[in-house]
Amino acid sequence: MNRRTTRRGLAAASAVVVSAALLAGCADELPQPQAGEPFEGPVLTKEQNTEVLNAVATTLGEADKKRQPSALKPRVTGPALEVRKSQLHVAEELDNDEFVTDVPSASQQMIIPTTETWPRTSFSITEQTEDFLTPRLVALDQDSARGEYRMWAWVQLIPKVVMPAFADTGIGSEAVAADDDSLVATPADALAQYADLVTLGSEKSSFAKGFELPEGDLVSRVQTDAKNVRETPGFEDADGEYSVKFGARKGEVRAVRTADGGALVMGVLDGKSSLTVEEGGEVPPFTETQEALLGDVDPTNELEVGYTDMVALYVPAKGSDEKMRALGYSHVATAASN
Amino acid sequence: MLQRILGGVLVLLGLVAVALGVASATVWRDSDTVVATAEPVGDGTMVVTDPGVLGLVSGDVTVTATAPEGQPVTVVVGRDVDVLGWVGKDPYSRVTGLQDWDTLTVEAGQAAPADGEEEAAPSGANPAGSDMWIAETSEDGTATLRWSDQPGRWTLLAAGVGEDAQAPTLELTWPRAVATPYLWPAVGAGVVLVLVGLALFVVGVRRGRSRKDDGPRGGASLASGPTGTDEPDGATSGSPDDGATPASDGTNPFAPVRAAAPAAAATTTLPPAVSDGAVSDEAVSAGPGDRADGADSSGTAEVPLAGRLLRRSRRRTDAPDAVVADAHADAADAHAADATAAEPAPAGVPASAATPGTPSGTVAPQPALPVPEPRPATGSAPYLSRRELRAQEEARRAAEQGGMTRMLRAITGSIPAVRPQSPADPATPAESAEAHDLSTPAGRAAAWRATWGFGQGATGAAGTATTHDATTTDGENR
Repeated sequence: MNRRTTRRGLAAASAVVVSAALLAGCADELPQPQAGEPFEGPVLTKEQNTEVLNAVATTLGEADKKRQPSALKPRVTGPALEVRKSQLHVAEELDNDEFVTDVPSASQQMIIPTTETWPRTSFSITEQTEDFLTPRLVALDQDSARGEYRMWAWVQLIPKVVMPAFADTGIGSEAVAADDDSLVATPADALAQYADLVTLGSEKSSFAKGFELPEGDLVSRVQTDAKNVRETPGFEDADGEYSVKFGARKGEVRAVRTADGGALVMGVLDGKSSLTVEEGGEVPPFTETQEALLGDVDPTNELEVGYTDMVALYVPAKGSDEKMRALGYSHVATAASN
Repeated sequence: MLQRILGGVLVLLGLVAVALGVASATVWRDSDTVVATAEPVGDGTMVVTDPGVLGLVSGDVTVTATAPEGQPVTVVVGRDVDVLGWVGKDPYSRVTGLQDWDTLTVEAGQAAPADGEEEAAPSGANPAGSDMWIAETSEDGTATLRWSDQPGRWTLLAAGVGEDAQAPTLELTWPRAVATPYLWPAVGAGVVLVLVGLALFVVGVRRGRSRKDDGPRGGASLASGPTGTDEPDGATSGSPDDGATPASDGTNPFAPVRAAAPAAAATTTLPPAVSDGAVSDEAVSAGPGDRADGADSSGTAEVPLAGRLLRRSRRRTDAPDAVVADAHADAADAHAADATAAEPAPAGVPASAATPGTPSGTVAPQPALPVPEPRPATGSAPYLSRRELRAQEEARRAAEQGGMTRMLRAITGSIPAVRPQSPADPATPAESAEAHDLSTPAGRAAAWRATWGFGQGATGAAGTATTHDATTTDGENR
């Protein structure tokens, strides 16, 4: 019966083949990890940055509500913390939130860094406030890997100012060091020059040529205030002296590259105004803020007011036709004494 | 029998193949998931995966971090730079890849603390809440995080949190697409095997059934065959015609009621067929008589099935067949002699003798027997005489010799392995055995012989006309 044996042989062979194939199927090779390309883009996604901004806004809101400066710490740092503390203090003193700067969380443009190390700084241009005040430019700092992004500074943008273009959030923007020399002036120098301009005014400062000062910027604000003081009736008669001195705070510079190769520079100007009148004269605080800061003291013939001003400048790249431009500022008195 | 066994084996193999195929897609199928575990090393509180580990097996991974004693544990996913930046100088366990399908390779992730740094003690710091993570979860004891891989060096950090925290144990679970390449081939092959096996089995059963039907009676016929050959004595003058003579005696007590009665009716209608006495008997068994006597002219002449089978089988067995035929002829001859002795009718003219000379009343129809028409009338008879049975047996044997051809036909199912022949069969023997005069010992003996098949030789001797048989049966039915 050859036919049968053949058939059986076939059956047996097919059984062997099937079982062998089954066994073979069990032996896959171990996959090896394939590390992808290193990250080059922004360190935060838009969503993450939104979360950050919301967290900051939440913290600010709670602190504002309680007027509790200590509540700011988790999400506010640097000059922003300093100013905000002062504002909350003033608000507490005056029982009035009017002078607490509103910083919206909604962002119309995010400027996310590509920095792989720390600190990292991101920026955000907010929407207008509920009171239709100008948008804010906010800088957020992450000083260490285990730290959070915290609001480091904010400025109110000057109305109608032309903002430089920034890289898309999906691409990320390069951080610019304080001494970066690819610009018409290093960020630190630019701040120093601007401080000089604020101190002396655009007519006396030698740096006025390098700056394009929109109407309503800090220089005009300070100089206008000074002029008003000096032109106060009786100022001359009382031998009044009024001096203003602003200087860039060293080390407090954050800069990020703009799309055209320039930089957005944010920094802090420490300002001090001194008003002195003849002996026996009395200088009352000019503003409610100063009054609150001054506290429950009798006026003397002196009044010194300290300012912590956060400013934002656009510094064009070297070789650019453009001048440096003031973008915004926050002019807040944070100290007063007499 | 062998076919049945083989069929059974094939069916079994087929079922096994199907079962194997199904099992390969179910029981033996590779797990849908790959689960690999990483045990932390060193004394850090953190476990970090290398870039690419999360997407090692597939894009979707479920990470379960279990801290001992229900400690809080946090699992986060972030960019490799961020994670390593966050870990900083703390010692940690670094998962670098798969060691085998169940285990992840773990290395100590941090070198000795840099100089001047305070001893990097496990801090139990909690990475939860950082702005940098794009996925995170924190739980007490066991934290589970699902992650779908994205382009980039995404890294997972799992940390035990709190004082005296220990690094959690990581368990990464990936879904895996498991192919079942053997399912359908195995099932298909199995089904084919089963079908082939069933076909073989059916063939075997049919054959076996037919054998079973014939089995016991076949034995009897076998016995009768030789018996017939035991009587070779001086039957020299025996011719088929002679042998047929006794059959026409119509004295068989067994048959008349069924076969003879209708036959009688037929007789009247077809006297010509009877006229040739020599042929009349043959006609009964559809022998040459049909042809010779012009039974063909009747147009309806039909060879009784049993006769066909009988002759066919004989033809197939050729040589012995002849012997048997002769023997039967002899026996029939002797038989005929008995009958002749017992009856006035001359044996030499069977037909004529049978017709008028019938002593018993039942014999009258006998002459009609050659006429085929009545056959159908007897078809309802359920009884089979031994001769018929022997005919069947022989037919079966002949059929068996068909071997492969028959098997194939059986497989296709177009033709039954053995034709159902019972209806026609009874007639043949009945007629051939009928005309015995039981009133005399010789007649009884003849009847006995006929009954037990010894007389069939006479009838069977008619089988000399095998040529005719060949033309009708072989040509048409087989």
